[in-house]
Amino acid sequence: MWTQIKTDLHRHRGMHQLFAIVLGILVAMMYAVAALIEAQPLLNKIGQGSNMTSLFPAALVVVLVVMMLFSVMFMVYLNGLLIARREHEFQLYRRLGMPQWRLNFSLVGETLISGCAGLAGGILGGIVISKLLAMMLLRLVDSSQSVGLLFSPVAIGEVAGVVLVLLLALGGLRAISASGRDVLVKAQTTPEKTVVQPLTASMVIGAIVGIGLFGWATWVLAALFYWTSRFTHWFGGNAGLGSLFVGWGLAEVVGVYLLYACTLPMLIALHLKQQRKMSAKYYLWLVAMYKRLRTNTQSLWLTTWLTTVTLVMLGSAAMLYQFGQAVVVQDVAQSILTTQGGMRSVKKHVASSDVAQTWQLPTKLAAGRVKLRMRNNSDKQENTLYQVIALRDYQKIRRHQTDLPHVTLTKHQAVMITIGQTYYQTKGIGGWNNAGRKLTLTRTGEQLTLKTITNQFPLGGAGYFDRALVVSNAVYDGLQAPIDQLTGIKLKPAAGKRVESALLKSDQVDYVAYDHATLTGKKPIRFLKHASNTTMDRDAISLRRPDLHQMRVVFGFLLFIMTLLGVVFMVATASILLLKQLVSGRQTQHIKTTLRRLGMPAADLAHLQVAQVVSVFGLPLVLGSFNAILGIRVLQLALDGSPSSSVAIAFGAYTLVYVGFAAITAMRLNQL
Amino acid sequence: MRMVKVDHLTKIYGHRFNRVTALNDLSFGVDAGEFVGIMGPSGAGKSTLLNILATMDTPTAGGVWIDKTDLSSMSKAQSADFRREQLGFIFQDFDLLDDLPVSANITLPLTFVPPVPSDLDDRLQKVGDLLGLLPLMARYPAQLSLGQRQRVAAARAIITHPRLVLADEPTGSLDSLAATELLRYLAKINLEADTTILMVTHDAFTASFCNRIIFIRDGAYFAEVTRHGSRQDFFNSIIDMQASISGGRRHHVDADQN
Repeated sequence: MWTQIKTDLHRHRGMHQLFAIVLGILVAMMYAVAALIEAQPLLNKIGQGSNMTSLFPAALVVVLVVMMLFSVMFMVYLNGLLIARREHEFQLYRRLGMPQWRLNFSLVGETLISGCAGLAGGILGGIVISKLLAMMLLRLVDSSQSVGLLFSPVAIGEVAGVVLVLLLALGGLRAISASGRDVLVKAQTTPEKTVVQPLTASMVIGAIVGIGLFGWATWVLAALFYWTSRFTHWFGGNAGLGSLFVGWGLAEVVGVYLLYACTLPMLIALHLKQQRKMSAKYYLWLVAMYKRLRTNTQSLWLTTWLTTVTLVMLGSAAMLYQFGQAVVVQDVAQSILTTQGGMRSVKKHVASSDVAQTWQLPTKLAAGRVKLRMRNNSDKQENTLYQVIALRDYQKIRRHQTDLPHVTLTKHQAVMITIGQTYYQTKGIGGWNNAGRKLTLTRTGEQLTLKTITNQFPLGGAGYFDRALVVSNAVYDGLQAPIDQLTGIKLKPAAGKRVESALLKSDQVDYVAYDHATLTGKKPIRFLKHASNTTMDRDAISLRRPDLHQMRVVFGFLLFIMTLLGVVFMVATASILLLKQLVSGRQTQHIKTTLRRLGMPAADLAHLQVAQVVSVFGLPLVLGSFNAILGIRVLQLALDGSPSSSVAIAFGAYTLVYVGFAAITAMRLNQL
Repeated sequence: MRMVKVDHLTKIYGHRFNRVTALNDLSFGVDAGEFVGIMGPSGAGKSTLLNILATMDTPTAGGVWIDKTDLSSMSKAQSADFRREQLGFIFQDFDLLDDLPVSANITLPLTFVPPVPSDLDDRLQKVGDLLGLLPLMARYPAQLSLGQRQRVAAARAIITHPRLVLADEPTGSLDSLAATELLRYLAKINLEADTTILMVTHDAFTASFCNRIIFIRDGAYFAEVTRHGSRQDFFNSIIDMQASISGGRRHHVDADQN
């Protein structure tokens, strides 16, 4: 029995190595997360300064459970793929009369041995990467805490327990797959599916439906607000949203499947009609791609979705991390932003020696009325409060706050600044913008033409009740309205922490009247002492660095979690593709031999192989990235056009690792 | 004109303590337009000889010239060019690509290196006509009988107008009816396309379609039989010679004198 196991382990060492390596990587990730959950003091330290101390371990537990569930499902899938390659061997053993129990024992035995190797390696690897993960987490959440290797017997017990049960189940599955009666009868291969067929009606219909569904799903993502308003119009509020979501999901899922199963093979079959005019290299590549598309539809579809989900997770988390920083910077452009109301506290705690630079921005408070086109494609009249800024003061601030957009105005033009920029100004399919709309200052009756809408407030959005309006100097000077002075202060580095901790205690708030009479211009705008149903408010003092830290803790932790899940999904995606490629590489080994015998140049043969690997890896990557970009674009719109350079970095990192796997596959195939 | 010259060819496999001499100082020649069979018992070195002739293996000593080209001086790339342009192959297991239709299987060697010949369709038409494959062009190998598959392999071998066609047990996988049909086609190729054919076989019936048979044993030249009369007489001579090989005598036999 032992000899049998040893022989099988040796004969299928490639398969067992792959099994152990993939399991090892998953175990390492699971252990590292489990050990992090056990490292309570570290998590408490990280959560300090935010209200999320209890949330961190809970979120990590959820991540661990997701990882475990996914790993179990994925290992079952991988196990099935690996065992399918050995059908012939089981057939032989059974035909020669090997007792079923003996075969079962040896299959369970070899699964346990290769699995335990993976488990042990994974836990060792997990202890090593636990430090890296903890360091990464600390860095992302802006903490200067030091950390060592995380060794946790509890975590080892948890992970090992789950994996051992999994291994027994996998061994059992192998035994079941080797015990069927059909194992004794040699399976007939069906060449019909792999050869290029003349176009059938079902394939053409599938191809057209595939393009239609995928195209519509893409359109929905590209013009989400248009389709949301259509569906809510047709089916009513929640039912409309629900049916759009379900319809879109089905269209994506079925559309991508049909693209692989019908559309692409049909395009190849049409192209191949002129086959004799093509070079063999190109022709054989097309035939091989047709075959892969028809026989590996499910794995291409699955890897496309894994790629989409991974990229959406990584991209959104990276974008949110960057958004968190950007939103604080947009909110408070310098170390301190204070209003007239907050100046007394600031003067009390900030000495002139603490200050590196100060900016003054005078604004005038005025109510305005404008009819704007919303994202749901309807016009809406809006009355609200504007802090009016003279163009000269705006330019003065812009010299230091360089992310403010460049503005030029004629006398009666104005630029509106609002936090919901993309709500009023969208480009792309079904897009519109509100340039040219007339805005009336209700108190004076002055009419201005909107030139553009932006979301960048001079000195930061925290100093504004609602919106701002940049107007020409002449209009500003002529405007009769109460003055509201904003001050931005840049602290010297040494003074930062002391001043901030003193000012953090201040919770002073400014209130301004926001009743109907004020907004329609019947009453002048006035500051109030207390809040009511008809007041608007803002913090009198806003600080930049504590807010930044808070954002880093929240979004840094989110990015950390998404990266963990992303790595697990990526390992799954790449190993499915790698394995499928190696299997088909072995199956088509005789084709390579024939082509070599017939005198195909070795370089062309190598190119053909590389082209196949690139295509099989490339298709899910391209389609998955396309889906992910559209998905992230929706999030970006929801975040009011948040910056996206971090998304490019996340995509780049993913692609780089993915290309690495493709290169490994190509090298392994060349060694066959 | 001499098409193939095998000169003191020796091939030794293995290492110092476990040497196997597959070919042992073998010499013979084949003239252009001949249909020559190579026969010998299992392990005589037939396949090794064919592999060396096909530039897929290299000799330990001696040399092989095909149409005055010395095979031993070729690089790997030159060997590939040579196989593609000067040789045609017919293998026992057909070596067809299952995913390609018959027409693409036949024209495959012509499309390896661009440009694709302008007379590709004409050539396909001609070999298809010669081997009775015209109605089968759109089918796939799995949809053909074994005999038809081997005819596709033969068509692929001759579409490049090779100097020499090498056939390795071409009837090994065929029933007697399909084998006879294929051999008739090979004889037709030899006569009508004036193609030199060198065929390795262990079957006397198959060999009887050749003009001359070279017998090898233990990697060395043993004897040869040339056809002068009917195929039946030639077949009988081959059977006699096979019996002699088993008996261990080494002699030169002329079929008509036996």
